[in-house]
Formats: sequence, C-alpha cells, structure tokens
Amino acid sequence: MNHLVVLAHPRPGSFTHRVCDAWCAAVGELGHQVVLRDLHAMGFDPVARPEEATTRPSAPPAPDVQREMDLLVAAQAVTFIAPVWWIGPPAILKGWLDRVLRGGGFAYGYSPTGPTGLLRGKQAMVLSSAGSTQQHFLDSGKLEALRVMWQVGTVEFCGMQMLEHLHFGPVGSRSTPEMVDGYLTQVRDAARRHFGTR
Amino acid sequence: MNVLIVHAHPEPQSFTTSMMKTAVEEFTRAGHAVEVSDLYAMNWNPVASAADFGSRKNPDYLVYALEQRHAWEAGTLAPDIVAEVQKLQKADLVIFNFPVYWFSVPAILKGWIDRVFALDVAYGGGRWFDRGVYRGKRALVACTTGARADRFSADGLFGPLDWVLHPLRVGTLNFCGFDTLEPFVGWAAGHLGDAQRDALLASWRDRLAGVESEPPQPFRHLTDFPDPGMRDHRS
Repeated sequence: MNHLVVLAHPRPGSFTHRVCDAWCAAVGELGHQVVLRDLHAMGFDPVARPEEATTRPSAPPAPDVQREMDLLVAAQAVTFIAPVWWIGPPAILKGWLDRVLRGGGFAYGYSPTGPTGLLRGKQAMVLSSAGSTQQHFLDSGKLEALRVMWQVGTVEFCGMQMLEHLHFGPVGSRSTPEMVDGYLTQVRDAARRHFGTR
Repeated sequence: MNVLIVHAHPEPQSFTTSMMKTAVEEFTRAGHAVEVSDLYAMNWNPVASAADFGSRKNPDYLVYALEQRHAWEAGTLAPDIVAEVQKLQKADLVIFNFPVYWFSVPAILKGWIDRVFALDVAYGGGRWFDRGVYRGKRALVACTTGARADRFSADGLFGPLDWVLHPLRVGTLNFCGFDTLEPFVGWAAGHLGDAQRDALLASWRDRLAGVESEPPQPFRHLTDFPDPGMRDHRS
C-alpha cells in the first residue's frame, strides 16, 4: 500500500524528524511504499491564492499543488507529522491543508444533504509533539481541540478515516533520552498495529 | 482607542474583506485610530524558519522559540516581525478577520501567530493567562464560514464553533493575556444574496459601534487550573 507522509519542522534532526524517520522505516519494513514530503526542505508555499482559496476553485491547481494532489490520490494512507504550535499545525502544514485539500470535486463536494467527503477509502494518522506534558494536554482540553480540528474538521470532512492521533509530550528540554526512546517505540508500534497485517 | 485589524483573505472583493473595510470605516467615523495588517496585501511570509533571526544564540541547533528570545533581546529579529509586534503593543483592541479554513485560520494568519507571538515578546517567564503580556488588551474574532450556522450547533455536523475557535481563543489569545469578545460570525457568507450581505454588514457595523463597552467572554484564570505541570523555557 502507498503511504504519503507530510512532515513539517524547520530543523533537520529535530525530534519531529526522528519520529518521521521511525515511522517511515517501520512502515517500509512492513512492505509498504513511502513517499515523504518534507515541506520545509521543499520550500512549500503555504499561502492559498485567491482563485484556490474557495470551496469552488475557479482555476486549475498550481503545479506545486497538483503534485501533492497526485501523490494523495495515489496513496491509501496519509500521515501528518509536526509539532503543535499554538494548538495547531505550523503554518507551512496548515497551508498544505488549505491548498491541497481542494473543494470543487477533489477533496470534498456538495450534495443536496450537505458537504460530502471525496477521499473515501483513505486512512489518516497524525503524529504530533509539544514541550508540555501529556497530562497538561489532556487536562487543558488541547488534545480535544486538536482532535476536533484534525478529525472532525479535516480528515473526516474529506471522507477519510482517522486511524489515530499520537501526541508526545514533553519533548525538548524536559524529556530524557529514555523518554524519547519510549516515544519512538510507540511510533513503531503504531505502524505495526495499523499496517502490519495488510 | 487604538484598533489593529489583522486581515487574512486573498480576495479583495470577498465578503470577509468587506467586513474589514466596514470595520475601518466604523472605527474611523467614531474617532478611533485604526491600523490594518492586510496579510495578503503585505505578502506576509508565514513560514517560521532560521531566516527570522539576524543573529543566533545557537547557530548549530535551531530551537525556534529560544532564538526568538535571543533575537528580540539582540535586536536582530526579522523587521517584518518587529513591525507587527509594535502594532500589537500599541493596540487596545485587536480584530482577527478571516475565513475559517479546515476548522482553523488560513495558513497566512497561522504563520502571523507562529512568528509574531514570540517567546519573551508575547509570553514567557511565567507571563501567561492572568499574568499574560497582553493583559488589558481585548481581541475580537470576526470570521466567515462556508457552512450554515446549524452545522455548528451542538448537535450539528461539525459541533459548536466554540470548539473550532478554542485554539485561537484560549490557546493563543487568553494564553497571552487577551480578553476576548464574543466572536462575530458571517455564517455561509459566500452563499448569501446581496440583501443578506448588506444586512450582515449593517449588524457588524452596529456591533462595532458599541464594542468599547462590551463585556468580555469568561477568561481562563490560572487559579481555576492549578499547576498543569507546564513550565516556561526559562525555568
């Protein structure tokens, strides 16, 4: 099965990159094909143009967007890997969603009963991290807010199935090497859990 | 009062842009000083990167927030960011005016937050929520949606808009000390006829005429959420 991995972190070698490395390696070892989109390395432009920033785009996709759309069409699973900044994805990833998940019959359309997701049959994962503790993310409602944005507002809106949102914290100065090892083990376990039998 | 409008819509003829223009007219008429950061018109760069720092505390390893602090102290933070910080510092009321994309702000506005709400500038050193840097300032979210209001009701397809705006209201604005006002929502703005659009703009104008005396939404007080186990980078 084809996996699309969308990565957003400005520093190569970051914890987020290590998560991505572990995920891609684990999925690859299970016999799947992985295509990685490292948005910072690509210099991806996250700013939607007037003609594409609408539910019914009036112009064909720009070449950089068409490329991402083609990769998404070819994939059966898409994984978003990014830190949490201000309870959301970094702008470069937000812009990938804004521009690539086009309306007008690509990612969603409209029927008499309302919006209809058109990316049915695809599965989605989110792997995120933050400097604060997992408990804080639970207690403060941040994880729930992220779930609403990712699962209800984006993945399921497009008709995809949300497999899991794995959030890691604390990372950075408050984490130990043992904690990081534990996080990366969870990443590999999740890959096997979701994609090991296909 | 000083009003800053942060506007993020790519189309100058859009209803969302009309909301921004209406606000400028109304505040000007009422004698307030109003400034607009029209992010598309400014060609705002939303991507946080090492290029934001004219000098580096650690050239070998980028921790974006720590470099924000260093560059702010050293006076080497990117000039486009510094200009926005200065607008924020002057403002008594900040209006965020945007269409909802994917249950969130457009990327160009997300990147304004990522870059402008910098460590030690907008928060840090224990300055958050009740002790937030921007305590005393107020913020108003003015947004448009593709869907009708009933889609965002408690038993609607999407659930309450309050969920959708939680990251902005609590996670960003309350976090930095802002009091927030009840959001103004242009429901299904793109699907309205001319008369409905005019009526909505008129209600927006009326709302703004009394905005100075509006009570804020409930604030998330630190004392209501004892020690969440979060600490600042400084400690």
